[in-house]
Amino acid sequence: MHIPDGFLDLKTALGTSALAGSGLATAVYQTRGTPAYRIPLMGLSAAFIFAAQMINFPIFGGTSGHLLGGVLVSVLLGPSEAVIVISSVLIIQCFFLADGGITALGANIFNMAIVGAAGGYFIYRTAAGMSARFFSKDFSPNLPAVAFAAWLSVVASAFFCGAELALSGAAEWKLVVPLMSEVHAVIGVAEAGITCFVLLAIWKSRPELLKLQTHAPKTSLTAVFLYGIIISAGLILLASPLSSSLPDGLEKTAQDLGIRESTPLLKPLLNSNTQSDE
Amino acid sequence: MISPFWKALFAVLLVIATAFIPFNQPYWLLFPLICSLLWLSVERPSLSFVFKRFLQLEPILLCICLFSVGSRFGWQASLVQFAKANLSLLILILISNSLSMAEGLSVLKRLKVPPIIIQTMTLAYRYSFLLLDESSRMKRACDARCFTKSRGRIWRLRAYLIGNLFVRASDRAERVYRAMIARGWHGIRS
Repeated sequence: MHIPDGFLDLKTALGTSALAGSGLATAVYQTRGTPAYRIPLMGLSAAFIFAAQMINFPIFGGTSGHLLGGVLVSVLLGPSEAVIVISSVLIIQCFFLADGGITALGANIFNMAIVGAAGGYFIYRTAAGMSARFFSKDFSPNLPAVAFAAWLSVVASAFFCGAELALSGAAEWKLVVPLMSEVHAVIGVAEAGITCFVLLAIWKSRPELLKLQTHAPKTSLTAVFLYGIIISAGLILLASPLSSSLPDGLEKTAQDLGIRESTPLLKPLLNSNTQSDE
Repeated sequence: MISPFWKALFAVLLVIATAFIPFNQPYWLLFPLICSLLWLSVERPSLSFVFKRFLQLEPILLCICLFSVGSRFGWQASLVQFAKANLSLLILILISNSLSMAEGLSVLKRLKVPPIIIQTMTLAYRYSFLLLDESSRMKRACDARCFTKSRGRIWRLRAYLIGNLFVRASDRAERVYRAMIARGWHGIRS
């Protein structure tokens, strides 16, 4: 999912860089009070994601996928820390391994760190909040929420990746977006499985690592608001120019029935009522 | 001897210039091509290293270029795009080969990148050796004990391996961090 150089046009590269920059600035601001004992865990998580992304899983038709790790790190450390960890991994991969382009670094950070990690974390919290009604408050039963968030974060990242390529004219929207989403829907299953396995292994052997997150101060509403705005802006910027110009269901029905926009829908009814009164 | 900062800045500017060359002016590609060849002749990196990195990353470029053949810009644009992507990749491989991690981090520090990002990158680099060491040990043990061709079982084994890798590496990482603090390391926080 690492977009190389040469495929994004100037407007997409600038737009995604602005989104990634604001997301990263929010993350740095939110982590200004991070205690020193969490720093090695951030470093280890970055090294872990870096190493895990090198292991490819066979999917189908000669394709393979690798872990993105956004939800894994955000459940372990929190959304802002996860954005910094994934961004650090992407910067290392870009400058020291030539994996992912410099002009596409903003897009890659937006797709994998902001949508994948921060967005994935909010999906996890929402799903965990719902599942808490049915399960106990112990961490392990929240695995369905983790799995769902991990899967959806991969599909959402792939969707944005495809949208950026389509918006830049590197590929046709109807070809790249469905294909990316479909392939990553399968990769997402592996991501969900690995995320659950890793968190379960940590829960069994080092539960205090997960308690660090449980006992950490709750994510502020400002962070939720800011990340929400950034992701929504990305959706508007990247997906809306490619939306279909064809009429939607209601418009099509209205056209088929011969109802024009200027025709008040209640007028015939009112007319019939007045006629009946007479 | 060019300083790492100027080298990195030159590479970044060259990649940006290459990536945004318009489709209808492909002759501009000669400029990054000449610069890359000059860089190759001055730096003299291992050609096998450059070739191997190309082989590893080329499938992604080819895949996206195949997508673009059917796009509204036509196959000529796809060719220009492929050339741009390959030239940018060559420049990136050259800069990744000529900059060490320490030099790269010092460049980022000079560019006023927030300390928490530099610190995460520094520790990630330090811990990646621990992880490699730990993972090769675990993989060897797994290969010696588990023989299977079933894809489902391979997936389960890999996931189990990754899960336990994190747990084992976190123990070692904490020990390393305490040792670093004992030797006077205070991080890069401003």
